[in-house]
Amino acid sequence: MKSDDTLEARLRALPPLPVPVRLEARLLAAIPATQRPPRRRWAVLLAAGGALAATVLVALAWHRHQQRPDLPNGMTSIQPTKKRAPANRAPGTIPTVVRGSMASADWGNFAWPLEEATPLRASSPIPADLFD
Amino acid sequence: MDPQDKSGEPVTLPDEQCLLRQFRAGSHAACAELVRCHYAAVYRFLAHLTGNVHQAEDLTQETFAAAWEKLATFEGRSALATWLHRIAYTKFIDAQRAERRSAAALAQRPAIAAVAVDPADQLLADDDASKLYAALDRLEVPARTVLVLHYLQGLSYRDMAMVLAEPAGTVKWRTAEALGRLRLLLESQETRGSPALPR
Repeated sequence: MKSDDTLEARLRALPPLPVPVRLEARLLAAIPATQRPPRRRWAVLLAAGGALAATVLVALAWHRHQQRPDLPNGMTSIQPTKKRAPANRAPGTIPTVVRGSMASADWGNFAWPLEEATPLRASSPIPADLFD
Repeated sequence: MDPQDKSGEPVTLPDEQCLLRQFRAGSHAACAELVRCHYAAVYRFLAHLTGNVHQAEDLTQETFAAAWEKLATFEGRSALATWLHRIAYTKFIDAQRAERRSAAALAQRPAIAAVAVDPADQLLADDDASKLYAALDRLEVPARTVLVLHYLQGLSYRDMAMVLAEPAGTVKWRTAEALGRLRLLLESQETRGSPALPR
């Protein structure tokens, strides 16, 4: 609208409000004396994250060290299992597994199924005097 | 108002970037230069919003105090003037909320033309200008804000959107609405027997 265009032009042509002469000096006097460099938050966060990660790794390593299983007498470490060669064994027998220093242990041979001299009982019988 | 990169995003001016680097390095002279470049525009904006010289001065000081605190986080996605206007507008809104909670809200707000002008100052001797300022002063704050920002402070709709934290389309629509209300106010002044405004 033409009237709006005219009004816009009038608004743009308005003289600016005068500014108090003391205002600039007041603002300049209020500038902080020392300006601190901005905190490099990203560097602080990175350092904190690295320290936290290192702490977690150390804790995990210590925890795994504490949880290492007890080894039988004469053993200093558990060697990784070697690949089993095809066993020439009698049917029903379990091959003897050679595991490094455990090869000298006498595990004995046994046949399956195990032969029991007496039948196994799941529980001992209840004495009769306990019944009412 | 703002230079724009290829994507159309506003960026700070090269000299402002240099000034910001100096400021972040702790240069007091850079701070002083920032004040000299922008304090008048911030004051005028606040004077139009508040209609009170003393309050506008106080809010201007609060604006720059907040700016010193926040300048380290200024990312340069807008011109420094736009950013300062945003802080000033926020300070004005906070002051208005505080006034509503106090008895000062009942006090009559003096018109800018009566308070801000020095009797010896010839700036508002222009009858048309005084009528226009008076009509602006009669508008409600939201309408007055968009007209002041766009026509008096010279901000683009994109800058105004950053200042007011509203979409640019909304700002543009509000500006058009405010312009229509101002026109109606001026016409009502004429029909009441005021001297005809120059066309």
